[in-house]
Amino acid sequence: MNCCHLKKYFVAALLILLCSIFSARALSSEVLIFDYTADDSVSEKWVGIALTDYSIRILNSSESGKAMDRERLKKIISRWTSGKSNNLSFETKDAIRVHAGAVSLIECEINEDPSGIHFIGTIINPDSGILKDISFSIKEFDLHSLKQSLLNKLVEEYSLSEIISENNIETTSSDIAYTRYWQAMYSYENGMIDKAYSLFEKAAELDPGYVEAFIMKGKILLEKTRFSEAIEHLKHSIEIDPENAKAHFLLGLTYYFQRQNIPARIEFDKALELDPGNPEYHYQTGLYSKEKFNYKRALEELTVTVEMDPSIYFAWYHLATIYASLKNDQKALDCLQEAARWGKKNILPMIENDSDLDLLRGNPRFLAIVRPLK
Amino acid sequence: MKHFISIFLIAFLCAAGCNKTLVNKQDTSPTAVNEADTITDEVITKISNKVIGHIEISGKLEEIKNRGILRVALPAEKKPFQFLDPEYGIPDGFHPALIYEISRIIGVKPNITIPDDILISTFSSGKWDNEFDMIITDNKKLCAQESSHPFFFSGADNGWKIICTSDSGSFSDAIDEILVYLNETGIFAQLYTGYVKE
Repeated sequence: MNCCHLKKYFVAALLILLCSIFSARALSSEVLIFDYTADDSVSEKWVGIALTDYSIRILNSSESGKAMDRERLKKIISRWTSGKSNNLSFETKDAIRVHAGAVSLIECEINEDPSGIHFIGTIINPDSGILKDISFSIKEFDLHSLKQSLLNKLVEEYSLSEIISENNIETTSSDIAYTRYWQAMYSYENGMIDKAYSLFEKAAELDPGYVEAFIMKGKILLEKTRFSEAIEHLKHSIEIDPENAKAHFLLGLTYYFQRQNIPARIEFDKALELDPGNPEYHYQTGLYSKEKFNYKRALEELTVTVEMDPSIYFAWYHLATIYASLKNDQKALDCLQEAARWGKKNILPMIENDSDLDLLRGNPRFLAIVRPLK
Repeated sequence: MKHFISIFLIAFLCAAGCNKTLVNKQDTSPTAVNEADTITDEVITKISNKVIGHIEISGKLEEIKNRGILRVALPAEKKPFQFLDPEYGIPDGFHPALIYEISRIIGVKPNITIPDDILISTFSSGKWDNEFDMIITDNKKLCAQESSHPFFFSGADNGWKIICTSDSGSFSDAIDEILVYLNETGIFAQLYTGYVKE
């Protein structure tokens, strides 16, 4: 084998490597950051989720999509566990990592004692077995010190080449607004919705340019079915940050629930244009298209959804019902099989009772799909 | 040359590793599934809790939720109220859209039938409650033994359209609450405008 041949092999190998990396990235994030848990000794419990989000922003400021969005990871976690996300075993976290196609995960605990605040964190790459310690301690609770120490650790461990400062990571420069926002988020995630709303309101008052605070106000108003007020807040969010995909998506969702079809479609399309890697946006656009009998678009969007995240089992189910309507039994059964695989017993009653699937019931494959669920 | 071989091997192993991750992806699955699967589902769940969360899930409502499907019969085809989509033969129109909204709040999927003559005779015989959870009609006789929920006064038909529920308990209470929600939020008006006025 001469040198020229070896060079060809080398180039081919590099191409394979690059293709593999890019194809994996098209589907997933490289790092999963599970919520940092602040134990009972910590007085400011909200700091756990605030620092989790901060870590995601640090990694994504160097490379977009490097760390999975916190909300998206929470949705994936919700499909794995019936309990709370902070009680996940390492095995479950690793299974989620494999499912998401991620390389490494970060898990941390925060505790407090008379000597100070202790952040005990690890970056874990289960495939290579490499562990990296990112722990640090500070003498007393100080948000700036906590964030700066965390930033330094992550910049060092991930060799983040660009100069990253706290100011270009967060969307508010007001510490009080930031604190109120994360206190609000902690309350919201623990079911204290009214308290959360008033804290989000304070954050928005303290920093009228704090887009996330307005988005969360809009989301709570949407959940309270106060649609017109939700629309007002979400439109304001878009005025602050016209490129915010989440604001467009939630505005679209509000219009969708209010049955204002044309503005809903415009906002969903805008969210997709701004963040085409988010399976939630594809899923919603697929649902919308299905309801409007635009089956071609519905099939496209729902297929992209399950390619990005196959565990969204309702996307598989909707695909199955569309293919069944189109009399494409083979594809309907393929999708139903995946819906059953991911949805398990939750989806059995629908499969058994949905008249949209009646034409498939005599098919032996249909029986084979249903039997294990019983 | 050894240098090239080493790089080639590393590149090959890395590529194999990436593929392994994707292959492994097929071999894992969650142990349980929660209801709030997506942001859309999460919002629907919260809206549903707000609208009918205070109603005890029992009787017919429990049966429907366990089944995951709401079975509904509509009157014969009449545009724009109910008709079959010409391409796919699926019910479309103002009433199917209304049923869709009701189903969404209950947290189930609707199966809608626009009946033929045989089913209409079943209605007339009063046996429809075995086949359907609710029907939409302007024939009050069909609701004689069950709960009725007037929801829309039709000038053209000169009377009230009625949702008949084959239950006078929790399911019937849920329908009342959902109709209030649809009116208060303007959804009903949007549905009417979207289908009837266009």
